Amino acid sequence: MLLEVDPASPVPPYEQIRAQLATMIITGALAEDAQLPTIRQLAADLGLAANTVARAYRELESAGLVRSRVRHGTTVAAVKPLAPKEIRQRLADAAQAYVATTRRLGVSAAEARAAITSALGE
Amino acid sequence: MLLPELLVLALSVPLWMAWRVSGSPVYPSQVLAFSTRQRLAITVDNGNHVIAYLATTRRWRALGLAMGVVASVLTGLPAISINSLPLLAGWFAGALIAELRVLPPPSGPQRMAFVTRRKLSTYVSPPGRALFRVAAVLIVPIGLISPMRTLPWTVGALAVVALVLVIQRRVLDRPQPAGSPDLIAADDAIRSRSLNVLAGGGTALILFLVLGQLFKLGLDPVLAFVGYVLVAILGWAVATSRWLVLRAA
Repeated sequence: MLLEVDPASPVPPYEQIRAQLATMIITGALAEDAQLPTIRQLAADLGLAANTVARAYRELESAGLVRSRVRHGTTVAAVKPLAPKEIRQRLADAAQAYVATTRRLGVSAAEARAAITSALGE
Repeated sequence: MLLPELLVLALSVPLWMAWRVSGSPVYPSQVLAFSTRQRLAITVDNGNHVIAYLATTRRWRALGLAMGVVASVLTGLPAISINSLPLLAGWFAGALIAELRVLPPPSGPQRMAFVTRRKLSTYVSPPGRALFRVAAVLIVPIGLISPMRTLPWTVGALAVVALVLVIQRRVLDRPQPAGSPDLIAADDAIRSRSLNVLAGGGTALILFLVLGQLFKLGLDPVLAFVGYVLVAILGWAVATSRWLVLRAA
């Protein structure tokens, strides 16, 4: 599994790291108890300051997605399955974000639906 | 030959040889030996990285060994003699410095990283790790039963343990290139070779110091000699062991 940081992006690097790791954890790509790289290792590989990676890890920890323990480092925490209501809410949020993108691009509703159908593989 | 002339010869030959080694190119046979030992296919993507690594490690290890010979000769004066401990210590010091001097391949504009923690167990063979732990643990009881006059041996052995642990961490934290699979495989192979050399060389040096301490306490010279030979073979076996790094998908 690869983590990528775009230095030209307006999104701060710590947020890029946090968002990608959060997605990997929530989708189950990173299993519970999986060890994350050490702060120094990830910072060296990405060419970032250790503080940047540490901030991303701190935010993941406060969101309950990872836990840090002495001698174990940072590991993936148990992610509680979402309640049906929360799933519906997140789906609605994602749909709103998608609709906003299609409007910004000037795409018709039919094209937007076709893109969704194609992405779903139907 | 007079002693001063012998001394000059004994000091200049190793330094001249180290200078020759550090200036000579890395030969294809050396790259092939590395490739065979690490089961690494050398390609256009990783060839230069491997050659640069071999050149750096060879240069510093040779220089360290030469300094070890010089130290050995100087500590043995007025007789011209070679003691194995300074030789090994010099070579190992060179190996440690080499690891600090090894550069990662230049990274491209992409900033990518694997979400996998690099662990010692991925890169060093289980016997290599176990032997280093045993050697490190041996220092304490032997240090405790020894009189104060042998304290420098215990301190020296503990210093070697600390140095190995620090440099091992540095090697594990060395940036990994985000490039072709061949380059990543070479990076893994290089990391593995470095860590095996540190484990093997460190184990040998610690056990040399422990044996030296026991010898000072009255260990039979024949037993001590056999011990030194066995330790040297053991260290060499760990340092040159074949170990294939398996990368999780």
